[in-house]
Amino acid sequence: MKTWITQLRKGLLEFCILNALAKSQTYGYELIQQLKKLEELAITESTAYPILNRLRQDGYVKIRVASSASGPPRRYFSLTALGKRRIREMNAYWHDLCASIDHLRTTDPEKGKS
Amino acid sequence: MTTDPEIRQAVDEFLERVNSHLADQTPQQEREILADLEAHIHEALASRAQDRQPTLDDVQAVLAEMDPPESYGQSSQAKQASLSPKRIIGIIALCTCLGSLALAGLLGLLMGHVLATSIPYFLFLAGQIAALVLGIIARTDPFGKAAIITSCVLIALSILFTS
Repeated sequence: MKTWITQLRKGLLEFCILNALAKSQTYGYELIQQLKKLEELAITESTAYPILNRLRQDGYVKIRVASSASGPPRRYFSLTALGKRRIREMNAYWHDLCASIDHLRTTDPEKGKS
Repeated sequence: MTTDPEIRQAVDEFLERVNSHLADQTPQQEREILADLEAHIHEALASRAQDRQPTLDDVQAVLAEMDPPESYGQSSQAKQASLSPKRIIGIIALCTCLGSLALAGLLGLLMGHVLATSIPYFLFLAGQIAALVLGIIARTDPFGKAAIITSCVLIALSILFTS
């Protein structure tokens, strides 16, 4: 069970990070705090920041550094146009995937009914 | 960014330890990840300290709550250990190390000797130095580290036996 959960989490990390950024730009610390609330996914700094770096390399995420009066410069992450398209596609696929799995789970194969 | 030297040192030491585990990343990728982490640490400090100046205890508490530096070497999505540039260089380094040893040994057998001034020895030494340099370039990769250790040991043994 643990292995299955680990593999499932790995596949969902990018999806969750892109969804978190889809709502609005956010800085790293705030993003991590938001993601940490998803306890089932167990996202922490050592998984999130390398993924964010890769998403930036792939052109899905951009960074804006803004000086802060109260502290260190903040690095704001947001989606690029490519990132927005990607998360739209991912969300559409996720919707279809969930519908298919729910159908599989609830359909009686003998009777063909839910 | 805080200017307290003790706090800066604690943060810098943590980031250096993270950097040592960031295998298979390009230098720019390493810089970006470390910059993100540094900003994260200072945000966490600001959140913890609120309106007062953060103390060294605050830094240590923040760092204790974060993932340990070793975990940055285990990230499944960011690390592609199989064919990264450093992995390739590390493999070449180790092959050069062992290959030059084998070649020198073979030439020595054919020539009947391996003197300190002979061609096999120079080939061996050149190979070990090349392996050492490549190993240092790929020092964050396990193959690179193995090449460094092996070439140093072989060079030391060769000097010992030829002196």
